[in-house]
Amino acid sequence: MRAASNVAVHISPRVGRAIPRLLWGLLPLATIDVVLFVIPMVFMALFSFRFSEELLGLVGRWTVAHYVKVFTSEGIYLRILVKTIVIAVVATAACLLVGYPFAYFIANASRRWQSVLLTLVIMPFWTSYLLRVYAWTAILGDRGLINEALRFFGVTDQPLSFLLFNVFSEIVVFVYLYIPYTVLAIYASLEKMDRSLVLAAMDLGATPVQTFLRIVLPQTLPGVYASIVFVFIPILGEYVTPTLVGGMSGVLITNLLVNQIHALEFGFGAAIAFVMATFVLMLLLGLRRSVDLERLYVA
Amino acid sequence: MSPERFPRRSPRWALRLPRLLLALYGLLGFVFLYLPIAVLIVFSFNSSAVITFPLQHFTLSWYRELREDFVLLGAVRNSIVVTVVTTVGATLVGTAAAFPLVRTGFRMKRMVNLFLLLPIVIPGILTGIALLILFVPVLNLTLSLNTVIAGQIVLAGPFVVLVVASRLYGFNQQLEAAAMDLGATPWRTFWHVTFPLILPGVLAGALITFTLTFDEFIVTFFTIGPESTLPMYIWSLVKFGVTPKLNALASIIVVLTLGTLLTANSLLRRRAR
Repeated sequence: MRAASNVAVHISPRVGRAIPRLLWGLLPLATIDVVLFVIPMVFMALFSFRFSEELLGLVGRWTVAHYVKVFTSEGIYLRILVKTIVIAVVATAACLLVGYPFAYFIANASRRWQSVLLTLVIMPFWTSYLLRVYAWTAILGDRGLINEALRFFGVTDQPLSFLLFNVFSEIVVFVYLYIPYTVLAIYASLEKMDRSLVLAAMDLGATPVQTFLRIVLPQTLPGVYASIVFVFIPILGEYVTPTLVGGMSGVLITNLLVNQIHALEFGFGAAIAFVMATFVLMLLLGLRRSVDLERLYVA
Repeated sequence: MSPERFPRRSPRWALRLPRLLLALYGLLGFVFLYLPIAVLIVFSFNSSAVITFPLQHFTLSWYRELREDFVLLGAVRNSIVVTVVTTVGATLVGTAAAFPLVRTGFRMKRMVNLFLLLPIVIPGILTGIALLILFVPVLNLTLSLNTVIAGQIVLAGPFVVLVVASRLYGFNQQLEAAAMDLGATPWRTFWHVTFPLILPGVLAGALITFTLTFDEFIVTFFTIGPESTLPMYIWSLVKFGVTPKLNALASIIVVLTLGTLLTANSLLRRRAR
């Protein structure tokens, strides 16, 4: 990036003069971002500190009651918030465990195959998100693919009902939805890895496990961090999956949040949303040196 | 078939076995990724109203039902309106923003980058609720397709920036310098040199934006009024469980999206030349 701008400055003074003008290009997008993203977030924050009998407007008095309710009210909101984070951690870990060998498999294919396999990994991600979640109810349900297959082959006579509408199915669908990101991110860092180090370690007598833990894994940590941004954070905000496949035991913080919004409890809803937004922002700021956001998509 | 990426040391079966297992694992991975889509497509042609084994006979009746569904057709029309307006807007705005982000260095650039990309990293449910709070209790607006478009532009803009920026990184700026040294005005240089070279990137960005916006659910969920878009229509059906009509709809969407994406992909590949 810096190199590029330096080149521009040195090649021609006219290109050099054009640079400040280029900055105007940022203005429309920045305006949209401020008006339709920053300002709404600010109002959301303000609403979370307002208590009002009026449905509309910012009238009312300042209060921290909504936050007190989030963090204390019989523990339900706090408990579900913690549960959501735990489930998101488990799902992210599962994505990494399942996705790592998968990325390794792709990185070890021939050049031609690599691009084909990568396209195949991304493609499902682009087709209707809602219908792909819905498809899992047709796979895991009592009359779904797995239960019908088990009965057809005479393995079971009663459908296995623990497959759907619980935390298990929720995590399966999270992994299904977000594993392409993990595979891409880890593939990208495996590609950049200096493979001669692997051979050197093996030649010096390291076992495969040692080689993996001390040579390969550290070099692919950027892929792991990227997974936190592109898997863990979106899962925290997942509403469709818990609603369609989570059942009663899979209720997450987003379900409680949407209930509040539907009940027009904007103040309390805003407080829940603001707690989530703060958590996500802190994570992003903490990871901003480890994850180069724009570089991820350049690949 | 493939040039070996590791120099092979000893071609014993013990070294082959891990490779074989890895290939098997990869195969299972793809089964996992494609099973749901395959299930939808297969059962869209099956006459049984529920997903059961063995398959009943072949039918196109679920597709016929779709054609007669006026609510669906209206939703598709709304989706197209929202998506086209959003795509055009986001492509213009995003392309304009990509230039300074790639070409110039300025203070706080990293923070500006993070800020501009924030809408695609922050969970959509939070963006949607924040917009709803702005639109309804603060501004007292009537929710409509306009408010949907407003929400979609926020999400789509950064995606265009990313795709166009990737094209600009591989751009040989000496071509522009040459045009200007030969007397072309900056405007002429842009239209005759820069624009043709980045056009595939811009088009790919537009196609990707189109695909994403057409499918966007959660922000639309909070910003939509009485009208419906395709994802909202699907949502109204999936909440009531398995309907074969949905399988037919899903199959059509899969074919259309994959067509769009393969086009975008081949546009992006062209940079290799």
